[in-house]
Amino acid sequence: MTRALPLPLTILGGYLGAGKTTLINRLLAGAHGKRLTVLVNDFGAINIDAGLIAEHKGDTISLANGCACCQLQDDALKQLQTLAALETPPDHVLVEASGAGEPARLAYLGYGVSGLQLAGVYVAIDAETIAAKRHDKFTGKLVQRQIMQADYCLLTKTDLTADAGAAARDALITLTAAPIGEPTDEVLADMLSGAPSPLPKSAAAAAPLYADTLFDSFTLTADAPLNIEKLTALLDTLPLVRAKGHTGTHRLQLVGNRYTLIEAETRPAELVFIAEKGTVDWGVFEKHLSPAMVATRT
Amino acid sequence: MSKNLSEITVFTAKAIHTMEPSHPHGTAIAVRDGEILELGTLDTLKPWLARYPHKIDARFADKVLLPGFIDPHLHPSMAAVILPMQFITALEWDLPWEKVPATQTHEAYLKRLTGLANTGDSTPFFTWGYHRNWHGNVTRTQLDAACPDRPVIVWHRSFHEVIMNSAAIAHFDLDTDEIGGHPQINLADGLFYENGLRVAINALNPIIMSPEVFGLGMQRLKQVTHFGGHTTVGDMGIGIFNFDLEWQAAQMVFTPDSTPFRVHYTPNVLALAHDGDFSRVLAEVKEYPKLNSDNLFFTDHAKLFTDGAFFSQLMMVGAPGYLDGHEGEWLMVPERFEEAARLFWHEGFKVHVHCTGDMGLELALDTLEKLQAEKPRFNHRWTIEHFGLSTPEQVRRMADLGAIASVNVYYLHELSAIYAQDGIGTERAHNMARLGTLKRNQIPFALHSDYTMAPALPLNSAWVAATRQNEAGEVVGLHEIVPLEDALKAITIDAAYVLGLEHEIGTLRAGKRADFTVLEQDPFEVGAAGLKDIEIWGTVFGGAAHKIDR
Repeated sequence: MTRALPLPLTILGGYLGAGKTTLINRLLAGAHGKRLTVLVNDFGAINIDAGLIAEHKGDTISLANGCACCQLQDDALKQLQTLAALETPPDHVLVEASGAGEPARLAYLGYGVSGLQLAGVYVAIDAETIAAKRHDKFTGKLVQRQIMQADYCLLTKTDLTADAGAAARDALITLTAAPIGEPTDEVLADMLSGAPSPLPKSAAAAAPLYADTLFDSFTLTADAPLNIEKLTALLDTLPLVRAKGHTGTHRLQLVGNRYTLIEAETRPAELVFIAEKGTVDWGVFEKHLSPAMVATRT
Repeated sequence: MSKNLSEITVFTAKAIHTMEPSHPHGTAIAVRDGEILELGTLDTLKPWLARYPHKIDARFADKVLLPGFIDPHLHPSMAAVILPMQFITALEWDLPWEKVPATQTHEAYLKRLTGLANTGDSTPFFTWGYHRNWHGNVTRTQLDAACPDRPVIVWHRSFHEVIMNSAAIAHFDLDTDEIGGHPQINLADGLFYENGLRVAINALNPIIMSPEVFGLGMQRLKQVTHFGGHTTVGDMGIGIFNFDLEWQAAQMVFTPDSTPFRVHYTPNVLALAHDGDFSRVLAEVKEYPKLNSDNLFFTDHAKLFTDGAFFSQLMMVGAPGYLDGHEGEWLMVPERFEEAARLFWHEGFKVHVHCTGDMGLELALDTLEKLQAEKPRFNHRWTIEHFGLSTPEQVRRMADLGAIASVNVYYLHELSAIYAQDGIGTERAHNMARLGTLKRNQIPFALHSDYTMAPALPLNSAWVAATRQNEAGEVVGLHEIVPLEDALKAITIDAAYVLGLEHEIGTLRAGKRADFTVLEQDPFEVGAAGLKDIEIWGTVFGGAAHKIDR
C-alpha cells in the first residue's frame, strides 16, 4: 500500500435519546460516497434497510455502498488499531460515544494509534428535552459536560419544538462556543470530510497530527487581541475547514461553513486554522491578519 | 428406617455458636451426609445417637465453631488477575502465602520494591498496591534506579493506572512516537492511565491473561477463600471479562474434591449486554441455572450498576459534592439502569445494585419506588451493594421500599482518613457505610470484601463494623458502630439472606448444611476489638474438615 493518509476518526457523543442512532442509520445509508465504518455502542438498535445490506456476520453489518457498522468492543483501542492497519482501510471511522460517557475521553483514543487522526467531536443534542435535561438531578452535569466537549453541536428534533429549536440554542450558547447546527446533509458531509480537529496547543505540540497530505494548518499567537471585524471578513471568505482558539477577546470555533465567536475573558491570542492543502496561502493569510492584529478594542 | 444412611459424625467443641437466637449455643453438633441433624450436648443428642451408628470427633475440643463464613460479593476473575502479582501495599494484607507488611512512605515503597524485584530473575516483575496518598509519586526514573535491568510494572491499588520502568517499556515495545504523544500516557514518567492504560494492557495481556498466570491467580483465589474461613462466596458479577472463559476457569479450578466452599453466581448484566440488548441477556440469564452443579450454581439474581468506583473517587456525590469540585461518573445512566431493572424486576429476579455514592443510591431508590408502583413485590431482596455514602433519609427510604444492603465496610477503614482530607470532607468521610442507621431501621445487611477491594477476611470486616477504627487509628462515626452480634450476623446469616440461601446456610440448626468455621478463640470472649486477630483453624464444609495450611 502506498496510501499513507491517516484514517480520520470522528467521535459522535450525546446523551441517551439525543438521536445518535438515527444519525448513524442515516450516515450508513447516505449518498456521501465515503466508505464509512461506524463503531456503535448499541448494535441492537441499528436498523438498516435489508436491501442495502451486503453481509451480516455476528457483530458486523457490511453494506453494499462500502460502509460498515460494528459493535464497539471493550477494547476499542485495539479495534481501531485493527481498522487502521487493514490493507484497505475505510475512508473514515465514526465512533459512537456512550450516552453515559464523556466524548472527549473517547477522543483520546485517536491519539495513541498510528495511522489515526481525530477529525472532531460531534455531540447530538435533543432540542426538545435539553432545557429540562441540563438540570436533571442525576445527569444534568454530565449532559452539560458533553456539550462543553463538542467541536460541533448537532441540534436534533427541532421539528418537535414550537420555536424550531430557538430556546435550545439559547441554552446551548451559555455552555459552549462550538457551532450549533441541525444535522443537514451538508453538515453530515462536512463531518466526513476528513478535516482534522483543531487541538489545544499542548496536545498538538506533542503529536505530529497535521503531517497530512490532504490538510495543513497554521497556528497564530499574538499578545494583542485581534480585530474581530477584520477576522470575520477573513473567516467569511477563506475556505477554512476548521479553526479554534482565542482571539484575545473572543473564543472562536469554526467547523465547515459555520463558526461562532463568543465574547470571553481577555488573554493573549492563540488560534489554529486548518484548510485543505493548497487552498490557503498561509503567508498571505498571515499578512491579511496582520492588520487585524492592530486591534481596536470595541 | 433406611439402611442407606451414612454414619453420624458428632463434632464436639469448646463452644458452638449457632447465630440462631432461639437455640444459640452448644458443645456438640451431629452431622450426617453433609447436613446438620441437631446441635446441643452429647447428652441432648442421645435420641439420635441411640438410634444410629455414630462416631465422636473431638478434634475441635479446644476450639470454637461458628456457621461457615459467607462473603456475598467478591470477584474471582478480577482477583485472579491481581493475585499473581507481588503485593506492596499501604496497609497490611494477610495472604495465605505471605503476610504483606504495611509500606506507608515513598522511601519505604521504593526500598521494598528494590528488595523484591532484584532477585536475578529477568521475567517481568508485576506489583500491585501502589497508592499515591501513601507512596507519593513513583516515576520511571525512580523505578530505573530501584531496578535497572528487570522489567517492572507497578499496578495502582485502584487498578486504574500503571507505572513502568525503562526495561519494561523496552520489553513491551512501548517506546514509540504515537505512545509518547498520547495525552493519557507520560512516557518520561512511565505512567499510563485511563485510555493510556488500555495501551499498556494491550501489551501486558499476553502475560496477565495467559493460562499459566491467570490459572495461578485462580488457584490463589481458592486458597484465599479458604484462608478467610469462608464456606460460601458469591461471585457478584460473572461475565465481567468473558462469561464462557470465566465459567470454564471456575469449573477447572473449583473442582468438588479440591474446593472447600461453594460459589453462588450472579450475572453481571451490564457486561453481558455489551451490545445494549438487555432482553437477550435476560433470556440467557434464565438459562444459566441449567449449568449448575452442587457447588457452583446460579439462582435468580442479577447484578446492575449505578455509579463509579469508590476507590477512584468516581462515585456520584450529592451536594455539596467533592472538595475539589470534580464529578463522579455513571456506570449506567438512569434511563438504561431503569430499563434493565424493570426487565429483571418484572421477571421476579433479586436485583443487586452496585451503588457507591449517595446519588447512585438515590437513583437505585427512585427506580425501586417506580417499580414498586408498577408491580408491587414483597421479599424482593433489592440489594444495595457497597453502600459507600448515604444519608439517613435514604436509609429510612430503603426500609420503606424493602431494600437490603451488602456493605464494603472496609472503605471506612482504608479511606475515611484520606477522604476526609482529599475527597469529601470529614462529616461525610466519617459516616461512610452507615451500619448503625441500617440496624436502627431494621434493614438486614451483609458485609463483603469486593475482593481485592478489601481483604477477603470476614472477621476483619466484622472488626471494622464493630469498632469503626480507620487505618489512621481514629474511631470515626461512633453512632454507626454495630454490636458484635450484628457484625457476626453480617458475615453469616444475613450474608446468606442477601444471596437468598438463608434456608440452607448461615446458621447452625437442624436441616441446614454442615458448614462451620473453626476458630482458635471465641469471638464472644475476645469482643469486638479482638475480632481481627482471631486465628482460624480452618473450616468444615458439608461435614468434612479442611485445615488451613500455614
